[in-house]
Amino acid sequence: MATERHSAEEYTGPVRRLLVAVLALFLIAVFITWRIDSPRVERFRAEITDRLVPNMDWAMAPITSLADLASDFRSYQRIYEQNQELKRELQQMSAWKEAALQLEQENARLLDLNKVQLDPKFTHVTGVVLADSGSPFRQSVLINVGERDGIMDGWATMDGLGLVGRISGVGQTTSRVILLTDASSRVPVTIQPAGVRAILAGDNSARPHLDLVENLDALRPGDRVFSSGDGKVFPAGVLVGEVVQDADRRLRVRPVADYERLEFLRVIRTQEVEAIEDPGSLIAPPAPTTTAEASDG
Amino acid sequence: MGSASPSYVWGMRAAYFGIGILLLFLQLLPLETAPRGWVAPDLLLALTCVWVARRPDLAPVALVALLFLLADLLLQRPPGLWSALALIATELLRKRASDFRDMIFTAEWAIVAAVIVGFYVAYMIVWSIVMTFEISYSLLALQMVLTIVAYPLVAGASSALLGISKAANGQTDAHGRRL
Repeated sequence: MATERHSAEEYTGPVRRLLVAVLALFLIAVFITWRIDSPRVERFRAEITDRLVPNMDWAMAPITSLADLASDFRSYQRIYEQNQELKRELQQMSAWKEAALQLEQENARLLDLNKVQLDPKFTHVTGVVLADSGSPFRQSVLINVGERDGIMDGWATMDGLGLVGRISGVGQTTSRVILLTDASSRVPVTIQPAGVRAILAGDNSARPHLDLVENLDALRPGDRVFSSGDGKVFPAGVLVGEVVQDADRRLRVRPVADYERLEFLRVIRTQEVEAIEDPGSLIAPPAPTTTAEASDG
Repeated sequence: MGSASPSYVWGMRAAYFGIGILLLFLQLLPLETAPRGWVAPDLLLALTCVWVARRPDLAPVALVALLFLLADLLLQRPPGLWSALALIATELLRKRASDFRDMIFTAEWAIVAAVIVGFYVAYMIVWSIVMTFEISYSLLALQMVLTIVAYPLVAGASSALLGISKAANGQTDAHGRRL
């Protein structure tokens, strides 16, 4: 037996070893290619994800609904507390609603007085979250709208409340949203009321921190953080969250978006900013006679 | 002992691939999208180690490479790195598969643990050399420990549910070669 096995291994051994070496080299080559030419490999990754993940939707549906059921059940356990909480919140809300109505009227009056031309309203595409990143080291989700729906790289994404992340990687029918909490996410923001500019940098924790702050003294916990149009990637003025100070006195942002359970996401269509190219015709307006001739001839 | 028929071998290979895909899908479920301070063990790695150490013929190298590359692509890891290291680690175990047969479980576990530690250390070193963004090394280390802890559980489950145990002495494959 032993000799038989020996001879069999002599026959298959080298071939097998070659196969293993080729496989290992291939994988390492893939890795090096990714490191050198990341966009191309990432596009390939988006394509593979696009093919595979929507197909497993049917398999996911029962498990997702089971998990929903479980979390619903957990929330039933503390329904009384929740009820009290909601009543309290409702009271506060009605006071706020009154204030908001008054402010709205005042705002409308002032806008009318000023004849202000506001930005056209943003339009959006809504998608459903298909999958998350599947790894504790990356924070991203996959949504079920893609190139087919006109989604483009870099567009901002929000849930009903606030900014969630931005599109990075678009497949035919799916696209990936890098969340603000991801370690590679950097978003320019403005902090109101001081109007301070900063970069919101994710670090794989629930509260991304503020980086490159213009004027630290002007900030206070509780200030509101909005996206700024800097870098022309994001629409300006989308609510992100509120400034908080953590234990080591570092400024962080608590997102208003509900990261616990992202389900429906809005992708905001970013309009191309019109560039002004010609210097204008202040000095020599085109003479009306020449245009008339041109149209005659 | 009877010989393993080709239909059994191919059936179990399909089962290995199927379980791997299932594990991937479970990880992708969007159940928790907030960052968390804990990790789950890498069950795919534990499963592959169990199968390669116990029945190397049921988890062929090409299948292992394919599954791990797919995992890299779907789980947003740098494609190729994790799978190349996993391939090397499982080949190390595969070479010792016939030695495992005579060992008590604790010794087998210790060797597998050493290989898994080597795997994670190599991953961290490569990451720190070439990567551009930070990764939490403490989370990786936690995942390593949990994966090692999960090994006996995965081994027990594979043996109880699918009958993946060490081939007995003298057991042969369809061509009469010893396993």
